[in-house]
Amino acid sequence: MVDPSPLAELARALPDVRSSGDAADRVAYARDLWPRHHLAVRAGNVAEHRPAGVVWPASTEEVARVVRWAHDTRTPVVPFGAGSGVCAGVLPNERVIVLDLKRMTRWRELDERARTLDVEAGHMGLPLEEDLNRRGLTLGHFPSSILCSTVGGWIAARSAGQCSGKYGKIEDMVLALECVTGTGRVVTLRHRTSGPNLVPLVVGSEGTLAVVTSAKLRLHPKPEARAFAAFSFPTTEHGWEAMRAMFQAGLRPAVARLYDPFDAMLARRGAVKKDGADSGGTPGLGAAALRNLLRRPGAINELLEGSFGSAVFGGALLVVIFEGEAGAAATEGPHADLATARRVLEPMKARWLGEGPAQKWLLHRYSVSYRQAPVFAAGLFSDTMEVAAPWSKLGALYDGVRRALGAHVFVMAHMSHAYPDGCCIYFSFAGTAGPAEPGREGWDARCEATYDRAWRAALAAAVEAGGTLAHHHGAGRSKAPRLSSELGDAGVATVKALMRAFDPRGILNPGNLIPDAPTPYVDDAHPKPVTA
Amino acid sequence: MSFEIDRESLLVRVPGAATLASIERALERAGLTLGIAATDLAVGDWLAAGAPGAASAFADPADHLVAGLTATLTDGSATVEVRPSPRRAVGPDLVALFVGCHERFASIDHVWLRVHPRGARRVALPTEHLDLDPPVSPDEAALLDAIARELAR
Ligand SMILES: Cc1cc2nc3c(=O)[nH]c(=O)nc-3n(C[C@H](O)[C@H](O)[C@H](O)COP(=O)(O)OP(=O)(O)OC[C@H]3O[C@@H](n4cnc5c(N)ncnc54)[C@H](O)[C@@H]3O)c2cc1C
Repeated sequence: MVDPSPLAELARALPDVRSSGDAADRVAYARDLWPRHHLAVRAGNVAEHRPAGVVWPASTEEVARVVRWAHDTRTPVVPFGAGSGVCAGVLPNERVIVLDLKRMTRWRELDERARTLDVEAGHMGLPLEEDLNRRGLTLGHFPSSILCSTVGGWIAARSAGQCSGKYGKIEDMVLALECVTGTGRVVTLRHRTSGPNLVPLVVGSEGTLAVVTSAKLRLHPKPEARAFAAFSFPTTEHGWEAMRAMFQAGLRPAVARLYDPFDAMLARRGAVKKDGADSGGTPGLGAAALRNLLRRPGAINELLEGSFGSAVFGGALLVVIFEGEAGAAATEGPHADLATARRVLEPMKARWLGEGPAQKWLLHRYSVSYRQAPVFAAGLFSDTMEVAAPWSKLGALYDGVRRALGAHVFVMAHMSHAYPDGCCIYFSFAGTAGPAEPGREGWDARCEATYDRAWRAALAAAVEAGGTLAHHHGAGRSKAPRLSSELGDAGVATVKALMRAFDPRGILNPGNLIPDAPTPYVDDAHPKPVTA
Repeated sequence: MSFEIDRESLLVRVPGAATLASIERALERAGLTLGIAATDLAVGDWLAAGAPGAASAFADPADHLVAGLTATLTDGSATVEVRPSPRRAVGPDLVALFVGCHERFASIDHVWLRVHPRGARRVALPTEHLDLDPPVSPDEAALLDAIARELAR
């Protein structure tokens, strides 16, 4: 009997391309790191969204053959980097082939004079940066997930790194993309100043327009010198006004991170504890006590937000790092920039805290991202939400989202991507099970209910305040139902037109980024488990 | 023509038909500037041509020229609004369909532009060895045709 699985068909059609329909592989590729999946896993539903199989092409030519086959057989294909996405950008089903790019890691061309690198999309982040450093270069892109994400995933999800203040986001680094469109055609798109530029359409398209196979990225000299500083402010608002002043004065600190008083207290503590629920960004309390406490998030948020929080935790904290060439003259280079920044900040109620907190931050720059597992192990959940707005709307965005989230979960915030015209706010939140309701009686189902309510309210509040739905995590399927609230119906129709132009048969990551996709998801904010 | 200056965010909202010179005059009264040579070109036409004379996006990666816009599709069927924001991650950047595309897909009704305090320090990283204006390839032309077709559907 002929095996009807798309993977078997693919293996028959392209026997020389490495693929697998192995049960373990299908489980491994069933999801990305969307935190709501972790609740399903905790409830025992380890891999509800298993693909038919996985394919590992080693070249653009192999990617093109796989996509051409998928086009001809109308088989859905989901591009896969390292699966560190947090928005359900990867959510296969038994008809889907996952196309993992990680065997494509070649440096195609390093141009040291122009300072550009054409690198294949499956290259992992940290080894890329380390290899560049050995040649005296840097990409300047340092997402907290640099250990577990790829170049292609950064581009597809419009990633932002910790040094965006100087080097920009990934979209500010891409000069050209080689990609395979939904018909299997290999195209090279180039950044163009005085003519049509298709690069920004594929950047951020989250696997729906094309498979990115390589990218020509702009590089910089590895910084020769760094200048560190930290300041405290009476309130978070004082802090962001100071950040605004710095960026509008033409200063470009590579790192500028402002923590609200509670987040500042965690940042001051620095390193992650190795064990136990208490290391989950939730200081010094046992798991059970914590669960109880988080039942009344509104009261805790209110208490910590006001002057009480500032007094107890010592105000907001701003960490600043300037980096670059040492500078020939006393007026040039990171130390001169820091001196200018001090002159800008000190009349703005900034209290100089020395270099220590910034140096400590650099030392632990990636650790904070791994605090999530103990939170889930303690029966709680946590997630992050990154939204952006012009400076004039930042206060409304901060208050609106904080209030919306705060009614359901414990919330804290920091700001780590500032620009001359606005800023991103990064909310971190933790919550617990709400009261039982029909159909949602178990602990994890009740956690899901709280999780969904918090996200729904927060996304609505972000758009209402004039902010974006996302700044650097992408929209995936988790925010897609809200897309028209930001882009409007005409914007969504335009995105769909682009999808038809690049991928006429709709085989690339179908359902992603589409508000009204016919999928097994709730029409509201988030997918519900597939029960079939 | 009315211009809306958002001083706090250093942005100005202007109609696509406003000339660069008229915008610059209004900004000058507020101590601000576009930071480019102000001509009698309408800002919508200037952006459709790819903003000639503006600093390269690679000169100051943390900055950008266009924070948001509204544009009406060429067949008049819909108006797309990209709300002002320093950056976003909600799918393809639709601004790319309107800037540098010579009104092939839409014409700009209003735009939010970045402005600068007069005399402010500007960042200018070296870009001289970057190829920022390659010719449009046949593959890109074919995709542009497909986009035009699908937008008109
Ligand atoms: C602990 C942690 C910290 C994080 N910190 C940051 C941070 O600081 N900054 C930040 O921006 N993000 C962060 N993220 C989110 C995540 O790392 C980014 O979204 C990252 O860009 C995803 O890369 P990936 O290779 O893992 O992509 P995946 O998760 O595999 O894929 C993400 C999306 O892109 C598509 N895709 C992947 N590769 C390609 C390709 N080659 N062509 C076309 N489409 C493709 C997928 O289909 C999917 O829709 C963090 C995540 C975690 C878990």
